Amino acid sequence: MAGSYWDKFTAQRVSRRRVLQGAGVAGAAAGAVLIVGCGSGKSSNNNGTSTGSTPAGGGTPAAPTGFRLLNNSGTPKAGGSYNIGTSVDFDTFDPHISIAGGVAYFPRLYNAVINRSPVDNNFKFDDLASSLEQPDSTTYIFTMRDNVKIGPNKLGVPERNMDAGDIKATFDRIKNLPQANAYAFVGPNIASVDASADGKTTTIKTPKPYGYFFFRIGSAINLIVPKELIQQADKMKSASAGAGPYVLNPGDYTEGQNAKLTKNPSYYRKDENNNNASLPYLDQMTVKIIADRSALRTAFQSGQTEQYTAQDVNDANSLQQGGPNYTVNRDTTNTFIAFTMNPLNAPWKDDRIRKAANFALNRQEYVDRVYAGQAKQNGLVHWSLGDYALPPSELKTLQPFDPQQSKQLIQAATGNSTIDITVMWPDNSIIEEHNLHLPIWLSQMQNAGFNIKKDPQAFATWLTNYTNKKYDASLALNQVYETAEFEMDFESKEGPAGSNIYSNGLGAIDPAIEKAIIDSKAITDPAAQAKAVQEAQRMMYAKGPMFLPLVTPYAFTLFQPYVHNIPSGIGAGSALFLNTIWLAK
Amino acid sequence: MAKDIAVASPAFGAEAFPGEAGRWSRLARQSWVLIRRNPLGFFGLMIILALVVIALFGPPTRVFGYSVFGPGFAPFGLNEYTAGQPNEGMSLRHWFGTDRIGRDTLSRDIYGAQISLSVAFISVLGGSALGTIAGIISGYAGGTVDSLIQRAVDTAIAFPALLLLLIIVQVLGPSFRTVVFAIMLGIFPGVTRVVRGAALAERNNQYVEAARAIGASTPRILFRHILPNVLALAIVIMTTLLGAAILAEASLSFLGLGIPEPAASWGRDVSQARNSFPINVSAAFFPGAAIALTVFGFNMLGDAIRDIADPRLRGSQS
Amino acid sequence: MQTFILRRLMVGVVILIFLSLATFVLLHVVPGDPAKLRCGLSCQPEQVAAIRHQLGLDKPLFPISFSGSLPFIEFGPSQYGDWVKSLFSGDLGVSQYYQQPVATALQNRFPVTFELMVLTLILTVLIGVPFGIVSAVFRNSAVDYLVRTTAILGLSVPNFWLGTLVLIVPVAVWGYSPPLGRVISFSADPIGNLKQFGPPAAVLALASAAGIMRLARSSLLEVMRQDYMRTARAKGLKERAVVLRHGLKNSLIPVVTVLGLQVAGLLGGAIIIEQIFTLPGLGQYVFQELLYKDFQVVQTMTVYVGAIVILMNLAVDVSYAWFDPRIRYS
Repeated sequence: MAGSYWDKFTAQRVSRRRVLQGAGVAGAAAGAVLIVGCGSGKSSNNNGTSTGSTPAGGGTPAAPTGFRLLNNSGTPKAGGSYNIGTSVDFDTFDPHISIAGGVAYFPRLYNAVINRSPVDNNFKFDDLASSLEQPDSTTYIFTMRDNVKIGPNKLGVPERNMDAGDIKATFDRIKNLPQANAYAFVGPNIASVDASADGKTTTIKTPKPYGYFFFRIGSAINLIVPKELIQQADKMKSASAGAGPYVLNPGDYTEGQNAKLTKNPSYYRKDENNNNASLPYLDQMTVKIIADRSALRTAFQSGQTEQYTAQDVNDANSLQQGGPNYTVNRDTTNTFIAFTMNPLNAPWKDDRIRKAANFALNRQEYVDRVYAGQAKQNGLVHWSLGDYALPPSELKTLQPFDPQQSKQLIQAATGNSTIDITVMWPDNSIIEEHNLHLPIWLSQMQNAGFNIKKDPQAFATWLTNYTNKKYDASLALNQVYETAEFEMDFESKEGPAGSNIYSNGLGAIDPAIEKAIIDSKAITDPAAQAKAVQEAQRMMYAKGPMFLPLVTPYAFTLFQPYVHNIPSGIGAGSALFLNTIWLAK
Repeated sequence: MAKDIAVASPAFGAEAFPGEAGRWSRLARQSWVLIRRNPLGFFGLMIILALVVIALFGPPTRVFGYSVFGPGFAPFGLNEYTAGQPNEGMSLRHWFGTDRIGRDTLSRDIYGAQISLSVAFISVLGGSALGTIAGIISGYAGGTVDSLIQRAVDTAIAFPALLLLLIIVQVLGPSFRTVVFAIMLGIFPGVTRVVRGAALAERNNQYVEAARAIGASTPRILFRHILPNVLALAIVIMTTLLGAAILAEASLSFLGLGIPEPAASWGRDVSQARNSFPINVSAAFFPGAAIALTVFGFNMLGDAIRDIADPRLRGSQS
Repeated sequence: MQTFILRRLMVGVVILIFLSLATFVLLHVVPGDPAKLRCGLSCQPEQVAAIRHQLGLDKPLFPISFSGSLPFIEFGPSQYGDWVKSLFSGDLGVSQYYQQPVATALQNRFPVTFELMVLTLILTVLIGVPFGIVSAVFRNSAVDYLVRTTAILGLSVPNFWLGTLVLIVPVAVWGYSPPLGRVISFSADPIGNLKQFGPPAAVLALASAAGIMRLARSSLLEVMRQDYMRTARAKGLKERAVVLRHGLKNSLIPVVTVLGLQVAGLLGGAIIIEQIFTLPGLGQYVFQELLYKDFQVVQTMTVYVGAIVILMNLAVDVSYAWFDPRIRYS
């Protein structure tokens, strides 16, 4: 899933982080009970702590997961309408095509085969598949759950159980639809999908072993759509029909205003913590399109929405001080702003100059000033990916803040203590975080001997230059990177997801690094893969890395006091699959 | 120049513009009368003069890369994020507080004055100059040339002005130059239309016919005879446009299509600071107040200058 | 009069053709590929190609191309041709970025902007005209100075700043905000509707009301200098009757016509105000589509707005003749 669809949001005025956090965490669905791995499925208790399950293809020890339910006191009550404000408008509700706000709601409408949390490897959500067999490293045999029933709908899709044929139809569609977002995953990484005659098992083969398979197959753009609906795909643009917890009926989406999702009465999940009560508890979920942050905040504060993702911890605190006792969810994110160098162009060809840039940056200043302390410094893989990232102690030696050393490196490479560089970046005042990083970054680079020729560009121009590799260096936009694959690919000569349309990375000049990146993708054991990714990072530091993620923040989402059972701790992308929320009012 | 004006003067509509010899002394006399009679205009002039001083001497002013007027009196640098802690309130050290990453709001407003005033003066001067030239050509030439220019002007006027500016900036990419160019294009049609009207009136005056009779070339008639007589009008229009130009730049920057980071812009500062409003009131308030004060000054000054130039128009324009 | 209207309409058509060509060319020299914008960073080349084809971006820009053989000119399918066709057929296609039909979006959004405009104009008149009269009647008094200074201030305050303050201050102080994220129709809930549209219309009306106030003032002063006013006074009419019955009616002619001309400016202001108050109107739509480089929608909106402005100007010219019989067009 790394960058395969979340980076689509770069075209939005807002960072995609906000899409996810804004919409995502407010899950509604079963508690951790329903999270059944193929190994040991254990249920969480009502105190908000929970235990995890062994991930498919496992290997990571079953440590307690970070998953918990916030404000989980009281007996759940069914009913009520839940309002969410989003700054990102919808484009289409076709989950395979959409690149806008809808992505954060598709798991409410359709089902995944299986979803694994990118933040917490121990969290796995089996949806359509109830169990999995892996006879070899490129074959996945899923046994279908037999009670996932398509709900009442107005698109004429029969109310039958979802089966293997739907999975096949979905992946066949994506395979033949290059404009589909999931094509970047399905195209290169799925060789074949076969449904058994009885519809009870699905066999998926990958061309070669692929370690990020579970992260990507369960993403919100790979959702499985009933085959009858695929026959009439046009209808998916503004309505839905599926076995997800909610349904979007025709006419319930008003362009520019809101989308009203209605409860699916035949959703198959039950809340085992509450006498197997039907889920979801909410009758309706209304997503209101509110373009500006100040208006989003205003809507929350005046009680027009039930949740709000704050700008930063200060914003959350100030709301807390003035308002009622909101529930605050602090969750990790997968976003960062990165400095990208093009190692094929002078002066970045010279590893000493790349290393100088690495030492020039005081990452703590972004943590303190942009995120008011609620962020952490990144190595070459962002910290919230856990074991895939290098530990802080090691980063201290690999990327110390040392402008003196930068200057020495520049001196050694050029004979001068300073060097002129041209840096482009997308300019748009509404991309908040980027604008706050920029002055700090410019000043740090200047202090370390880089004379910067500034080249701010309109967003579309920047993106075109970036993807056409027409740049020396760029302070890139923040995107959401849900696995380490994307960050690794930046250093590869093929570029992200092997797309070869931008970023001739470090791998282009160092075959060993290229090989390390490619090899790491093929490792299917998460612990071993994390180790390989760490090792590849060490090699990159030695050669002068060309893609420097700065810092990754925490997100703060506030909920009205009467909102209960808020899923937390597994990353917004996975929390979207949980529909546990209920309202005490 | 003075000689030509003297030649032109007998035929010039004296009651419309003080275009005769001795105009400047009369202007000075009238100005003094005006200050007494129109304290608001004087107040506006004072605001603008103060802002010009701030813009020139506040930040380090650079001309062709050379620093003039020294380092400037702004207490901190534009992007000096170590000036203070994030979101500081108003204090003796930071009169207007600090912004979300610790930059001094007062200093940013001072730097913003330089950008705002530069955009306004350059775009209004350029746009009015182009508009005046096109206007006198259109008015004097008539016929096909006139129709062509006027249809182009109609086309431009049929755009909502802000949309035109947004499209131009989006097409050319946000930069200081683009914003100036866009505002110039926005100003140009209106000026052309007004100046054309004045030029049309001049064309039929006897002195122009006389000049033509003695064989003066068309450019000579345009620039030596007609231009000086519509110049006063052009200057009046210019002063009324300065405030509008400031607002235009601020609006573009507010919408994210104006002066790009890391340069200063009041509009963009408002846009960014409003998101942390309750935590940080001063960072959102002061850049907006700076825009309002500047435009207020220009509007009052514009009213006053129009009063001097044409008493009939007193207080009439919107 | 009829020939005048006919001629003006023909000129209007010419202007619209100019406008369509100008925006089309302008928006197509923009660097940056909408297909890539849609597709994102990790897009495969065949994905870009498929999207380009789907959006019709692989067609030539103009219908005319020059080829080697007679008659050297070829007419073929083109982006410009498709677009102009769509303008007339009413099938405006699908937004390149938002994959929803443009015609539906315009239909949904037009009433929002229309109501905002109407409310703004009403507020403009309600605020501008009375203060203009007061200012003229008591000219050069303290009241006059106060009103005039306030008017200049109204023209000076940036509407985005005022709008932002109007939205965020009340909620910080009283926890109140106008309804956001849904449009309340006037017929369904008049009070809720006014709660929603009142604040943005008031912010937008401030500058235009200030302008109208100044115009009404000077116009009334001008009229009061006229001979018939002197006659009315000489007849022994009370000053109030003179001003209200004779002066006001005549002085309002330019006010009405200028109001019509202000619509283009207000539509520009709507881009900002709709954004701040999250009103899903045309201004918000065209701005978002512009940011996402959805050429076709921006072009379409420009031509439609241009047509409205041209018709408005024509109506103003015609109304001049109607208000003031001395004016004749031929």
